[in-house]
Amino acid sequence: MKYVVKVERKRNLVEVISNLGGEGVSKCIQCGSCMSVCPVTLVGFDYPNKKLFKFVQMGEEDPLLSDPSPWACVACGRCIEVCSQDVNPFSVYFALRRLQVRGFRIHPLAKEAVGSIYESGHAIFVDNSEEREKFGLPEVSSAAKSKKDLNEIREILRSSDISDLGILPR
Amino acid sequence: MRFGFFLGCQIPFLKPEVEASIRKVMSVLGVELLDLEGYSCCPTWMSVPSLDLNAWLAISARNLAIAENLGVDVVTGCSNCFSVLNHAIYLLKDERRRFDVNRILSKFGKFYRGTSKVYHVLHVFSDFVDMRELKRKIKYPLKDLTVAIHPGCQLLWPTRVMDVREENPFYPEKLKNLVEILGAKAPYYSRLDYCCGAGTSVAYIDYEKSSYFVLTKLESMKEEIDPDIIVTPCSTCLIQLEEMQKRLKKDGKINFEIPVVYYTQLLAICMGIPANEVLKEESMKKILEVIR
Repeated sequence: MKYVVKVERKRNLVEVISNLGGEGVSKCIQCGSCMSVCPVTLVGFDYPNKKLFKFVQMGEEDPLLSDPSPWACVACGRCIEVCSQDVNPFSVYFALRRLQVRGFRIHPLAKEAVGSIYESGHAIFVDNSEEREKFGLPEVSSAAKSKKDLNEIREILRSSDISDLGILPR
Repeated sequence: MRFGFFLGCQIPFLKPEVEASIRKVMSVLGVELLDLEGYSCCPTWMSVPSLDLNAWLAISARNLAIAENLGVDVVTGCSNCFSVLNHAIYLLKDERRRFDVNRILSKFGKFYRGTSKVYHVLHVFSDFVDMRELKRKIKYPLKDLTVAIHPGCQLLWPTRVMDVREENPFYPEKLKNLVEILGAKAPYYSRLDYCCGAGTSVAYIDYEKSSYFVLTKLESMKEEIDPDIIVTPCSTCLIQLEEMQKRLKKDGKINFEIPVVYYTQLLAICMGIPANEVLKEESMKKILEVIR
């Protein structure tokens, strides 16, 4: 009797993550230093950094695409400081966000922020010119009031991979 | 001394009183702040950097190129902008990345060289202005005031991307020294380097988890040093600590509320700048009560 073993071809995730900005992921030795200082671990998200890094190394894509922990990263940079292998866990975490985004799993807040940058040049934008005047402040000299500068921002966003995601206003 | 003043989004639009205090304090110290014409969002971590590396670096490089054209270093009051721009400078030391970015910027006649450095407002006081000069300008020193200092994460880590560093970021000294110059006490408490829970995102993903940070921090402060006021150099932390205290009090988790100020607001008051020019009305009464 013959057995046919079906081998699923897995993507080389280390390469994918490296191209998205997380070059250090292959160097992770699972020591856990990053977890010991990470605020995301502290409040108990399911898959803190090093666990996700193991999945990357093993080529398991499913948990990477569905886990919300990368979006909880506060960008404090403690992990970069303590990592003994120079993995730069922070940048791997952000590469994981970019991987999820390419699977169309975008956090609504990020979507909103990028849309706002496209519209006004700012992630947070409110018209408070009256209040600013009260404090004797000049008008904000940003892209929000200059069409030319705003078009430069839009050009950058449109010429990047973000334009493929369908989140930029037409 | 001249700096390009990178406003960011949060400070000019949500906390204009902080911007006013920075501008006033700087002019007292004789530091000139140049506005960066046509700057945009840095862009903050939760926006473009989460989606695409190249677009992030291009937008940051574009902002830095504006300062380079003026021939000045950048100073910002927002820890988030400070962190994003410094990370971008660090990554753009790589020649291939710089080439990619400049290819995009060249479409509209801009060029990134990497000559401008990015500092935080706090660094101007701690490393650029003469300490004796700063001391001389303080007309009304604080007396018998216990301050809980909250440096915030993004100002401290990772030291490799910054030009002004703490000797040991896990035991930060700069903010402590600057508060002590004003005449106040700034004792150590065990959760001093704790995250405020706002960061870029925890606050939006999970309220319970975010409030845990603030609660732990507040309890540690209250138990160990019982502060009159909290001082922070980070606008995100300022908003988070203010809003969360209100919410926690409403939920019955705490029975006190400690006023929070940005460092330059406190400095401005000590310099004799009228309080109504650097504080919002709703918080002014409470803060002045504590200080005087």
